[in-house]
Amino acid sequence: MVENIRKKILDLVRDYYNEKFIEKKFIPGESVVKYAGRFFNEDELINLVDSSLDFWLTAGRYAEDFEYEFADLFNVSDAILVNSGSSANLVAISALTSDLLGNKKLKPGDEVITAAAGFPTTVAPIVQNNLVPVFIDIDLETYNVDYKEIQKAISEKTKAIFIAHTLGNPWNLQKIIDIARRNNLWIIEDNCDALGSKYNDKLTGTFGDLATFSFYPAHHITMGEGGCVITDNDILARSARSFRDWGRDCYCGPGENNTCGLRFVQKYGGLPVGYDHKYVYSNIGYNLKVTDMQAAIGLAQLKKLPFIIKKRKDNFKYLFNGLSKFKDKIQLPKATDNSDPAWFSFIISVRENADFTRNELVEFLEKNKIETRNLFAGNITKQPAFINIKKRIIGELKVTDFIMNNTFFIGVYPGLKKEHLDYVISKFEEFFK
Amino acid sequence: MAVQRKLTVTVADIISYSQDVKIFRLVPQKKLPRFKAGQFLHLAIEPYDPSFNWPESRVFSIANSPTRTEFIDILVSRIGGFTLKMFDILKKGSEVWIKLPYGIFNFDESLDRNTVLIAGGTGISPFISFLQYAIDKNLNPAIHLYYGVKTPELIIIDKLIVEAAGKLSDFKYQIFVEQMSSKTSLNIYSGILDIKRIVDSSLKLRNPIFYLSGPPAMIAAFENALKNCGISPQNIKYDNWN
Repeated sequence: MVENIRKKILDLVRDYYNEKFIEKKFIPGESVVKYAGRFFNEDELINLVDSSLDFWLTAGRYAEDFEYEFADLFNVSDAILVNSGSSANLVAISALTSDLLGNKKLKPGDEVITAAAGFPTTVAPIVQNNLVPVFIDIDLETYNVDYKEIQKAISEKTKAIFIAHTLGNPWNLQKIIDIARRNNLWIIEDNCDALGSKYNDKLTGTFGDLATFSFYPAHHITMGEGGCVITDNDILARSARSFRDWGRDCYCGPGENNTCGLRFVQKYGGLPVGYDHKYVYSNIGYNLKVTDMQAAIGLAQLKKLPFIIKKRKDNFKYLFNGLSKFKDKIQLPKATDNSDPAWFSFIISVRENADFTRNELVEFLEKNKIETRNLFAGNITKQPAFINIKKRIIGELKVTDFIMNNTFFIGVYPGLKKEHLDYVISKFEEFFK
Repeated sequence: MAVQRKLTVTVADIISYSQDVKIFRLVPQKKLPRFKAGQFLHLAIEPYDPSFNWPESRVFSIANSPTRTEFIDILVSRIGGFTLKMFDILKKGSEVWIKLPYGIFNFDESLDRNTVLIAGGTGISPFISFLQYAIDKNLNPAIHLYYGVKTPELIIIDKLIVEAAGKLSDFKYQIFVEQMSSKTSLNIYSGILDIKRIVDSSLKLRNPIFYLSGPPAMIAAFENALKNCGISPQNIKYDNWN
């Protein structure tokens, strides 16, 4: 009986999707060419409603399946779902501060190398953990850090490297991982914009000790809000889960008790022997879990990932070919050597000698309903929140300042079709006439 | 610990060693998560409904290697209400729920150390997984297995011991049988696990690590004896269930 009702509801959801979300015709100049957006069909809605009918609400069967499938995709032992990419970054860096790591744990005052042309929530968790960000410049071709800058930045206090693969373009993993291993540094790959990117034919996110992902609607796949941390290291996984789950020592999932059988027999800190292990806190943590409804959407999205990656690459290539004729005026993106990016977007810099400004071009595109975005925070060390933090800056960050003034990006997300891209190219032609 | 998963399994076989000891061979209905030799699972007889909490369950060590995942073996001794129900209800073809993997009783540290495995009865389960893993992965850790059972019929790993002895050049074992009733070609001593003898011979090993698995009284006795001989608690691991 219950299963029949459920089936009827889900059949209705399918009908609802087909009525409600019917694809709208693209009208050049009127329809917005978005830089990113949700890419979904009835599968996501059905999973969402199916999960809501469970009414389990917190992380449950869908979260479990997502974590399993995501870990399997990267061939790692652990995927830890969280409620955003920013939370993923917070969990990842916090995981490195746990006592579980003994003398390898990060301590207040330790330095973490990161890019000055970064995203605020790559840097914020470094600051929040009383660590010191060390900002380095990027190169203008790939918008990624140069490994030589990392070598320059390393001091006795340096303990970790935490850098994003800019807009899906991997950084030079071979060189940087090598530097990290030689200097005994932890590596976190901020892979939030690079799901599906490869370096030396291997997925980014699998090179470092930890990697983070975002499932905000602008990203390759979405849960609305959501993120993930992956690792192939048992201790880091345990630490990350603890920080995600209130800082608990116990690893029981939501609604579970005593899975280890030692709930009432252990001694921790100054607590009495046998104090309920479920309420023993070994880390200063948070509650950063997803709901099962978010995970349900994510699981449907994950099945679309191969198509999404291909479509992003195809759209990138189409735009690249269409805009190449303007390369004397604008600098087009370049994939890092040995990489195969699953591009987050199409990044463009106005050349130094151009007779127009970035803002003039961007305003023209926006007026013609083509969405643009700056490269996030520009030079993050100049952002109000980051001016007065304790930090170290390597060199003059000249390229970072350049991109702050001259760089922007447009979309390649799978919702864009040939007609959208032709329109975008035509508007560049019009601007440059 | 790897990603945990709840899944239904089908009872593919029930291998009986005595009225009270059986192996339940379970075939998963979807892909198993990664697990390590030595980890355990929860088994529920009542169906799990994702709208509600996980039903009553009992834990069992996984008695096969992560390299042999077409099925999951659990070695069950009938000692309480739950296992009694398992023996009564579960037949070939029954479906039950499991969730796994759990536990930090694994063998990460043992591959380059003298590893002493001490098992009582069905406490042999995690060591089955470890021995199979070492064989399948062509590892050659120095393993000293001490295994105590009541009767020769309950030596459920006789074939595995022969296989390990043939394939692992640094594998040694002694089996202690309380009630000798039949002959076997294995290396057998009469009586219960001899704590003094086992501890004394282990102390001659360089940098040994001890894994204890079995009834709580057995674990307590060995743990005390080892600690009294100066073995650091860090080098004593046990799979203890209350």
